[in-house]
Amino acid sequence: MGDDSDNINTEDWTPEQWKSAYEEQLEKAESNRSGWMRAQADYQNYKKRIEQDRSDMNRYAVAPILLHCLGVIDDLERAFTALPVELSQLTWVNGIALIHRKMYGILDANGVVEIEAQGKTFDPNLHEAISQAPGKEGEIISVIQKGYQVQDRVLRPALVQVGNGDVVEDQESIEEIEEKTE
Amino acid sequence: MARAIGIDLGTTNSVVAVMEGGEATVIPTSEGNRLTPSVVAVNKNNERLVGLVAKRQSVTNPENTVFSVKRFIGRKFDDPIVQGDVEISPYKVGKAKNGDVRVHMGEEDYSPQEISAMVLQKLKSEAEAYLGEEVNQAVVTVPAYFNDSQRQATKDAGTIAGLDVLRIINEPTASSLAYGLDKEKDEVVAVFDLGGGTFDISILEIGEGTFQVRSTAGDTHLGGDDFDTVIVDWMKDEFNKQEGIDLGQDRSAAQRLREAAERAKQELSTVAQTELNLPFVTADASGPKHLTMTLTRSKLEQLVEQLVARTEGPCLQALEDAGLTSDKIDEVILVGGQSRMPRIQEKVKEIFGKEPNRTVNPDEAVSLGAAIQAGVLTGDVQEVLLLDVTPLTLGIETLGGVSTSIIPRNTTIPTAKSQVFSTAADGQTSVEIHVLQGERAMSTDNKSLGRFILDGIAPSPRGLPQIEVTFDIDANGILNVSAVDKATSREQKIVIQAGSGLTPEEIEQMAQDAEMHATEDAEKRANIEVRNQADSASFAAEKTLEEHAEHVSDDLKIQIEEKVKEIREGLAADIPAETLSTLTQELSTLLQTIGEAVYQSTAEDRAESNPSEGDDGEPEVVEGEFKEV
Repeated sequence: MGDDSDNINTEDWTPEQWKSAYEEQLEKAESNRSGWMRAQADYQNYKKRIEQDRSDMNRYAVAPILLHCLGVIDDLERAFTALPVELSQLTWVNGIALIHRKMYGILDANGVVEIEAQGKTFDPNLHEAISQAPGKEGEIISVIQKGYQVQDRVLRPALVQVGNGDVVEDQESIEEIEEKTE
Repeated sequence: MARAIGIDLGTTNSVVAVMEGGEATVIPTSEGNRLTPSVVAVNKNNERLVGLVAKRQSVTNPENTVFSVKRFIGRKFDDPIVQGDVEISPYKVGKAKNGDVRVHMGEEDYSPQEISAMVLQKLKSEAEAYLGEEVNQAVVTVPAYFNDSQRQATKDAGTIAGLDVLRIINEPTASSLAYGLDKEKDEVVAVFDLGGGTFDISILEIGEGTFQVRSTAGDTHLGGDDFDTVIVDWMKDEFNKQEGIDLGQDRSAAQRLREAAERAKQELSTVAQTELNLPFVTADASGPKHLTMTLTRSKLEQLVEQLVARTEGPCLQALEDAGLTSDKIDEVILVGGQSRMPRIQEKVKEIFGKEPNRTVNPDEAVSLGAAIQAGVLTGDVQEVLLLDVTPLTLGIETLGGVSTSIIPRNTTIPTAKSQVFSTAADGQTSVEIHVLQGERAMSTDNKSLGRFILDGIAPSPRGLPQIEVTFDIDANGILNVSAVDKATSREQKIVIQAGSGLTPEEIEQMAQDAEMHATEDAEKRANIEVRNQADSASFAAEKTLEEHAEHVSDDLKIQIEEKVKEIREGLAADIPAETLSTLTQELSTLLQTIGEAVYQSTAEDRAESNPSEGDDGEPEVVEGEFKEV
């Protein structure tokens, strides 16, 4: 980039002109220096971030795929919950249970662990409350959908029902209370 | 100087972004999310929760969980809009002495500013964790229809959060900035913002870096959530028709329906149909029930048509208020996640008569624009050097007229790259460096930028000399190409001036050509490779014969020599690549026989005299050799 000052005739310059030109250049040099330093700093920070991103990526890259797998595992578990007693002794059913275990093995291998929920104190860092029901206040009384975490990051919070402090009574009053909290 | 951040302080979600390396980037939260719910809560232990965690516990603590406070900020309690929202609010909303709104959370009353400040503080600390430095300055966005007191209140929220709010800017202005519209000529822009819960349309006039809002309109209760609800209702109805069961009564099922509806909606923006598959969704006396349905894009469009139609009125209103007809709008930009829906884009096109611009992530446009504004105000943006890129690949011509890339297209300059090449013939004493520009595989299809000869190379077998070719482009785009013979240090170079006389159109054309001719070029290149291989193999065969003459039977020697002759003649006569490839294959089989013979006799030798030397095989063939001058 050509400098503008190249073609300026400086022969007749007064000391004031020299001074102002000097100051102008000084300012320019300072701004270039600060720009350069900032660029260097930006670059350093960027490099650090890339390092961080790379290690995060290694740790969490599988997360979105696993998240989809979790839906399938949920379905398999629902199937077992609804398993008729007369079928439960079939070895064919046992085979399906083994498939389920194999899928759990995949989660395990990728460092995915189930978030403990049932009977625990509700913690919004790990659990998401979807309703309240009679039971000990602040305690998880039922798990609607299991939660999972990969290392220190929540892959999917556990969807839970939390106790509201009311004593568990007959079915009718539970429904009444549920309606109130909606 | 510390950096300033840009914040999209939304009704339901907020986003924070910053200028980094000259570009605006959204800052993800420590949990890896790009959005932070604008929700604040105080739990039973009197701990304050902000964002996602506050949202997750809201049903257990509805009276102490504050959300959508943006609807209250800077308004008086008696304002009819406030009154409308107070009625449906699960947390207590009261009136302050000065007539402002106060919300009750935990044991205390808070102003909406204080609540917003907690969200801003959370975003500030996320930004600090990401940048590794303190952040004290921010640009915050507000809807274009916010009045002075709402703007002032938003600014106060920033101050409470410990942020110096450099400027409050309008959301549509921020979006326009993110779309880079300030750089273009004077124009009238319509910003169509359909988010999760609200719809805003704004008409802006942009000229010489100034933005003027001509009009705004919208619907404060229309957004993506309504679209989800329509799908959920349809699923429930269908299931009820099929199975006679109302899924609305089942909490767990309701949750699954909502998730499935949202996913289906998103998928249908890219595919024509999707399957809704919820096995064991519920059960009755007869056993478990499954929900399986197919939702097509056209069915979805039919379902939500009423919602889509509701965007039209505000658009026409905004046009009328601005005193414009739709043909006076130069550009329409899309903001908000729901604007990804193809039907919405069609509707926008129907209303404004032109294809909407949707090049920026609609969820992030507002915050990105705020970050750009923050960068401008702190001088960050002006100081950013606009680094150029090489628009086309730069390389040299190698054996067989192949164009070998040295600096790939879109590399940021200044930059320098070197690569070592060798000679293509025995005793070759000079090489020609032919500098090329373009994406095509063959040098004749690319643009020649210049050529020079490096001579004085010591005569040696092909493949032996090491010639290092360096391409160096400075910040002004001036290209220096040099070639050095590593053995003699002899050097030659050429300077190619910037520009190379190509207009942007020509560059685009060249890039397109390359794409169009990709297959044809690959064939040509493969063809040349076959020829180069044949040539190398013949050369290697001769050399092997020479080296191991004593182990080779006369019969085999004649066979090999004939095959080499056949290949050489074939090369000269330009026979088809397949024939040539077969011949090369045959030659290499014959050579293997030599290898075996050599191995056998060395083994015998070893048995006799125990020599340690084995066959070091063919000379290494260096790819991408120079053609002979």
